[in-house]
Amino acid sequence: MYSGLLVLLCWFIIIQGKHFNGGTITWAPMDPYTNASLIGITLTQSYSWTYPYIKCSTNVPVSSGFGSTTLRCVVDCNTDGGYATKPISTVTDCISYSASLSMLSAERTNNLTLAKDAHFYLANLGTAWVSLNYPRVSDLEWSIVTFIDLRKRPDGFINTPPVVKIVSPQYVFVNTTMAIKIPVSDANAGDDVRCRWSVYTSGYRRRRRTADDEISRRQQSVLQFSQKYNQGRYRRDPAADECKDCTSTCKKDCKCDCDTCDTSVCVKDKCDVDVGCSITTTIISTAATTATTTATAIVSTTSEIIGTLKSTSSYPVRQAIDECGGICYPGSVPSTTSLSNCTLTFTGTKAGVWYGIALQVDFVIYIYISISYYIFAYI
Amino acid sequence: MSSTPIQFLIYVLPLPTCQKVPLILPINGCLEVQIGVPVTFQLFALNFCNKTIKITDIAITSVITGMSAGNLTTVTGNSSLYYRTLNWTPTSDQMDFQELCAVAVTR
Repeated sequence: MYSGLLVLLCWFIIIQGKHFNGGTITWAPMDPYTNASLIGITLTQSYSWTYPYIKCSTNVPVSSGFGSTTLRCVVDCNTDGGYATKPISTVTDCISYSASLSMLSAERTNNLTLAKDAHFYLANLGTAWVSLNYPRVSDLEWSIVTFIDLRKRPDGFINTPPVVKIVSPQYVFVNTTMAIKIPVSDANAGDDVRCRWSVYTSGYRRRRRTADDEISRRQQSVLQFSQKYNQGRYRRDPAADECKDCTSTCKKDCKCDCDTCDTSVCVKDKCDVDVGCSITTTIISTAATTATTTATAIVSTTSEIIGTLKSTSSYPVRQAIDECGGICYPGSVPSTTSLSNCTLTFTGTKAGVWYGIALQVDFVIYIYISISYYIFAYI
Repeated sequence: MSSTPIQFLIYVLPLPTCQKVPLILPINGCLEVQIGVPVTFQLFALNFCNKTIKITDIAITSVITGMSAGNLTTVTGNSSLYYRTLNWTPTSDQMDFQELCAVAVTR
């Protein structure tokens, strides 16, 4: 009965994924100038889904018979301002749909109160995009990460992050170079907004790897993840008592917040193997032939990490920031794809193919604003 | 610092038999509306392809809260022109610019 339930759960998640088309998570302080110890923010989630598999109603996608989860703190969770005690559901409400474009937009704004100076990374994590790229890769993960930062800016108030909206999917014609403009706006006058590719940033106390290493490591991670799924062994909610020692050693199904955990084995913030997440031969033997080389590379990396561990906790250990899951640039798009001034230039050479695009919109603050303010004050 | 994510999919379509893009009218449609006063307007799409290709939808991809859209309708006497009627009563919290996005689809 228990295993039957697990299989059912996996089925639900995977099916849900096939209809998820992406989205954005943004937030804004209700009063950027507040000095209160508790700060109210609005958190808005906007997601695209495939119509008519997902119906246009409230509580998307639960109202269409699919599962939902909550936004999870993934990095800097010790400064989450109390988010963990009142997590926000990823359920949203349909605001528009089109049968001819097979798209549905759903959005929901939640109000929440966090302690001042809270700063942490919040993510919508999922397990399966529609099959992407050519040749097709199925069950790639998604990881949509927003950075909430309630610390005051150098110019004295809480930042309101940029807002970005684009409908998904974007349709392009084969062998035709298309410019897709990413519409962004920023509430703070004088702030400059930049678009960049979302990246996977490894945590502290790790050997810095080259970009290519990271990408192959991500693919390996994805592969292992889907294998776990196929075997029906993946557990989403381990019992809390199993995780007591996870700050020093890394156990199976524990949160990967100790520095011995290697994120290539610890999928997201869960470890899939025991004993400090050091790579075991089991991983290599269960992995496909194409993945063996990568797995071997990780073995050497891991031993190097263990050899250089710091014995004190004076340096904070930090989780990897995964902004793009299974759709990290440049592996996720044709090689001719480029991004400039928030405009994506894209040429698809084969019709009927899906591609995933993961971008981050950052704001740039100009320091001269605060300097000129002080000059004015002295005059 | 802050960082807002945006993730979306791109789907590659085969080249259409008629590559003339339909035109959405009014082109620079910035309407001035008043809070509390109901407004009704039409969004037109003009087809430049021959009769084998038809406008199958004017899809509203980004809606304004409280706005409703009628069905796709043909203009009597002009089979190239289609429209949808939009109804909206702006509320006080909607002061400032509101954005509506639409896509005309031919098939």
